[in-house]
Amino acid sequence: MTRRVAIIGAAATKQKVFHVVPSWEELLAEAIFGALDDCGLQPKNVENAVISCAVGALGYEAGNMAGNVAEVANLAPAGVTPINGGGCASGGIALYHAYALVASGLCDVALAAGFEKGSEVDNYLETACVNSKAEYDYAFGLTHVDWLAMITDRYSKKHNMNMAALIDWVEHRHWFAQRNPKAFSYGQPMPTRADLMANLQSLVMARTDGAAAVVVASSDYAARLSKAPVYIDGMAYTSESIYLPHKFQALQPWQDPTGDLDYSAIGRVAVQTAFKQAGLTDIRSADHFMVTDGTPAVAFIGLESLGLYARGMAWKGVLAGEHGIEGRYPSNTHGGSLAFGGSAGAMALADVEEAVTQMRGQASDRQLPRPIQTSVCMSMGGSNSNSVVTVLRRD
Amino acid sequence: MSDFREPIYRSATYTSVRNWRERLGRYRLVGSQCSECEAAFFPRRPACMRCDSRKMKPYQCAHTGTVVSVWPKPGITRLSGYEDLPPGHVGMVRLDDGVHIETEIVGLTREQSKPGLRVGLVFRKLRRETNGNETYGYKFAAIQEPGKSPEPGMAI
Repeated sequence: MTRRVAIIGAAATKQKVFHVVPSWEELLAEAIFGALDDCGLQPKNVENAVISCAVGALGYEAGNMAGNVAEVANLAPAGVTPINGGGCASGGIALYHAYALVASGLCDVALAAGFEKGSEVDNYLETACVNSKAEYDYAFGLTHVDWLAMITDRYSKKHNMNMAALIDWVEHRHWFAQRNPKAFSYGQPMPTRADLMANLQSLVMARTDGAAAVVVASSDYAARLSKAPVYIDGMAYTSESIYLPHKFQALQPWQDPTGDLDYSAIGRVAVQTAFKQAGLTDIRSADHFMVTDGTPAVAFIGLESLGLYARGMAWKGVLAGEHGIEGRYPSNTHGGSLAFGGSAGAMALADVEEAVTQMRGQASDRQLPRPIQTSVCMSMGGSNSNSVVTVLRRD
Repeated sequence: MSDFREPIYRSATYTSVRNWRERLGRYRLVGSQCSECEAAFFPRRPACMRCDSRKMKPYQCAHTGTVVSVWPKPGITRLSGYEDLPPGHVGMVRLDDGVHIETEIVGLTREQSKPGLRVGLVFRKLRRETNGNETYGYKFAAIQEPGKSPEPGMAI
């Protein structure tokens, strides 16, 4: 038997390519205090915290993250659980465990917070790449960007994708980021389609420094606070092999016999589990979507995993404008990892923070014109080896 | 000479044990096969992904296969130590026994760089470790077509 869980506070820091002044601890503390201020709580109210970072101890000598975070955010004596890994889904994994702590009744208030501080390392790609099947890809010179490229290449060739869909996706994300002061690209000139087509790097997640935090509580606890909560009515987390070629090896009932790089079997499992919990029978009834977009093709796979499109068809919806502010399925409305910023350990939490902001009607110039009752967030990390799906609702 | 004996800063260095441990996989594409259901895997693993059996035995993967997906490695993806190498290709290869691997595919021309290309294992130097030792492992190259002369770097 589980309890209903509510998000009562959320915050994300400004995304920057180089956050020179704050340390990773200070950046994380800014997000944590922001989320606590958002719900009027103090650190002493937090009974448990789960902290995520995709690279963390490997890259920044963060070492014992738990003790560092307990100190800098005044969380002692709360138990702090570090999640080191999980790629772009690591923040979602942190939220899943914070949610589980409250849902199970182990505590009433829990915190999920995540960060990334890639600018601390001269060659961040090196540290990002050892978060893989290191002995058989990193050691052979293969990088995380190579995997994203192979996924994109496979998806585009297999489904005869019009490459304009990639540009459309990125262009729409920049449109939102132009209206989001927290986005790393905010204030920069809007890139033209020619700019995007000429720069391959613009089609890959932008590595940024940043942090985000979400406070969750039982629905009874949330009812005592002044702000209307956003409820987590469905949440699931799934994992599979990090070794990309294993996606072709469908050996279990939950896998698709036509397993390939263009499909996320564990994503489908997470979607089905979360939707069943939430009683969400038609994904098209949801109002807002956040999906990991390490590359646009990764986002397309996510949209298909959610059930918005049949396999290999999402790019057509993107070309039809379905994912812009006026589209049927407005998505990644903070700018996505391509234009908002890709601080991997914080990404999934920043997605949830954006969903909460939109649901509260506080997204200013990028606020969706329709009221949002249901938002669905899907995080895919480590080349789709981790998947977290969250169904958010307002009463 | 200074009296100050400067300590080495961040001296952690990986040993070569990790490379030695994976030598059969890296040098000869030896993976694992389930003794119960015969499913084959690469890299080696302690349990079967199909039937959960822990009775695994070494499995010699096929050394030839077909390219499923291939991608030219652009400069932005270069790792330290690879900067001066000529542009290469990375790809997904379906070996002739059905096992899939990801690998660098060397010596490809632009015309060859597409799915369906037949490739075979070649042995190459990978990179120098921080302890100074060289590491070696498999890569793949196009297989010589009947009636054509072999080209440098081509698998035989």
